[in-house]
Amino acid sequence: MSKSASGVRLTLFLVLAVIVLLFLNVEKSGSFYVDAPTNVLFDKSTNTLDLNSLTLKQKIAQMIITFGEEKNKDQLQKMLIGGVYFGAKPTEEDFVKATGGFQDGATVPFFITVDMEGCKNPFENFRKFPSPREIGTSEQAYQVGQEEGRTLNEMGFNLNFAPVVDLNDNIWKCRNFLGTPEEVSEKANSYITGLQESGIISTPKHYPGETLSAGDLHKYSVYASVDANDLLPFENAIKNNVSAIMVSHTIVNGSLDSEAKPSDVSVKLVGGLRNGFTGLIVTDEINMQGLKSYYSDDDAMYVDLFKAGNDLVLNFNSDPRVLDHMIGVVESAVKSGEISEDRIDASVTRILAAKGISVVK
Amino acid sequence: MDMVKVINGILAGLLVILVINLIQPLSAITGNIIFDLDTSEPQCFFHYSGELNQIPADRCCYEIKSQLACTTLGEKGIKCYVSAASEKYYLINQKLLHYCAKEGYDVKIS
Repeated sequence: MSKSASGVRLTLFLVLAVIVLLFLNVEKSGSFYVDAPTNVLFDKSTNTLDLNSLTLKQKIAQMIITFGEEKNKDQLQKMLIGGVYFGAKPTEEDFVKATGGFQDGATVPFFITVDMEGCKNPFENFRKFPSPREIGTSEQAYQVGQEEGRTLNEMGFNLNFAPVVDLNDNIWKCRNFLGTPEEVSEKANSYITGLQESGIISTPKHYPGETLSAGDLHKYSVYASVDANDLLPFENAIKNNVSAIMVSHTIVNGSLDSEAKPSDVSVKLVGGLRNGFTGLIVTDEINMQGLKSYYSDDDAMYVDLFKAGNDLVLNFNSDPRVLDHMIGVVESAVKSGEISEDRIDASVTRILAAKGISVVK
Repeated sequence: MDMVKVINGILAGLLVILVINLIQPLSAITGNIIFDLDTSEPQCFFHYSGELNQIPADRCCYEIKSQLACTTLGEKGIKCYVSAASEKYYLINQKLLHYCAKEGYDVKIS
């Protein structure tokens, strides 16, 4: 009888424990809730934003670009994520609807970004453009830049992760301009001018070069030696007032030394670029093993990416909970003094200025 | 009494599963098991100008996430493309797809 009673008591305990755990599991997997940002002082009539009105988390969020998935739109808007990236869609109307959907109701406008490189063309279903290898002259490069810029503008984009200015592309074999370093640089600059004249931010990549040189495909870290020729297209783009540059995960030595780290987490390399460049410094996508395999945990990587001096960090893991975690880790690093808030403010000021917003403090 | 023992056994099993799922989602655990059981290498090729060029796995995940669609071709693998009629497309294997999911790139097969 007592055995039976203790068995039933155990059953009741287990039922209760299962109910509690079910509740905790549902809570954990439930939708991620973000409050609407009511604190932001943004005068849209003068396009002026008070930087001090943003919380530290909101400022860090402005420094992130993620994949623009419709299901996460509301949360990304409320978090004040800096930008969204779009992959291919069937029609022009689909793009207009998607980009407009993100901008409508956004407290601070998004960077609406894409990889439009010609060889890589997310608009292939309705617009054809030549790949960089098919562009023979600087004049043609300028025309292609203008034409792509107009197309991007029409669909609501404002930032293009192009052109590729690596001197070689031994992987895809279609993404780079052909010619001597001087010719590559000249074509790239003409393309950049055409794109930027159409109101699109150009992002030559992948600094400091040699990123698309095939190494051992089974090793995740890419090592390369860069020389003056690799740097020439970037130096000339800076002279040509390019608005942004993308830094790669390649570990480099030679003319530049990334201190045996991926370039975009090297304070020395990114800091060196910052010294001669007032535009935006953008990382390559951070879920690639070329970067991740350097770290035993993602949190240390997040801190290093922000500490290195990058303005914009590309994280295509569009789960808002992952992004919120990343923001929290960086916020803690700022609060502990590992990263200065002035550094974050400087990046956010550059980002807002690139979005055409005047910043006051 | 036997019935109570059976019920308690089932509840205890459920409890363990729920505790594990709370620590790490079961989908991630089963995903990792499937990934580890498949001993093939992640493969990714880009088709352009009549050539198939091998693409590093981590760069491939970034690329296929931004394609319009991925469709299975049976034993030939999975084709990812912007335009079904285009000569530019990616050919990947199942292992690559699992690898991308594991690395945080959500790629769906249509």
